[in-house]
Amino acid sequence: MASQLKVDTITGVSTAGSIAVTGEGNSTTTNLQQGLAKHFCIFNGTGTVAVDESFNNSSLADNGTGQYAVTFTNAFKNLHFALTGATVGNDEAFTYIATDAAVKTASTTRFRGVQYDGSEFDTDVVDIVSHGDLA
Amino acid sequence: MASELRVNILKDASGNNSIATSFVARGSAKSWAAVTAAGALSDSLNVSSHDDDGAGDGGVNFTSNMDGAATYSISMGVDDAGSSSPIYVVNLTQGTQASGAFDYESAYANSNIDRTNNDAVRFVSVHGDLA
Repeated sequence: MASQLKVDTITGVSTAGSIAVTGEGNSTTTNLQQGLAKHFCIFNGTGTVAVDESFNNSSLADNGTGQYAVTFTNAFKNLHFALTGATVGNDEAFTYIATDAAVKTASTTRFRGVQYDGSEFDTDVVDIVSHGDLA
Repeated sequence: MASELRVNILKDASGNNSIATSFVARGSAKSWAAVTAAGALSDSLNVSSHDDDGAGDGGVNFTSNMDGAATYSISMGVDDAGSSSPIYVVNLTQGTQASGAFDYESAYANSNIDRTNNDAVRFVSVHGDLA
């Protein structure tokens, strides 16, 4: 029988927020806490915006065409977290997700869906994921 | 000696929400980085250094290597500082993905679709297997 561990919280012994996990090559270790995605949000960005699925996401705001903001349930330690994202393109062009440090904090970030000519654009599927350290 | 736990499956205390430790190990990001427009690391995981190779040209060097040259995925994002005209992109530089490092380029295209390499705040995350 495979070993099973039933537990609600995993905490490091030496440092509560640091647990080493042995990597796939069976020798190198990686930091469990630092490697976990700390936030994701999948939502419909057209009309009345609606979250399809999320993690550590307390709210989603529609700030205008192609402009959105998410607020985290548990904040990052600072604004230096890595946010990447994807959208579905429209029929003739592509879109991308861009953040703006002027409106990014540890607890919330705005971002925009931008299309080929630089204008903001509402897309019906927006995916964002953030990696970084929690406060 | 550090304590070590060897287990195949994690569950919550109620016995629900099980996940195999293989998913924990394979599914965790093995590297991520937030890079300033000046090409410095703001924060990172498993990054030994970041190369500033000129306008828009950067390189990420891992502390612990990935298991192959093209066996891991790289996601990238950009902070365009609210620009409303050009198109910003961050691309992997062709032929540079190696087990220990990769190069990338951030650029924007103006209304004439002319590409210009550009220093912007950049974000990367890496998923895959460690060596």
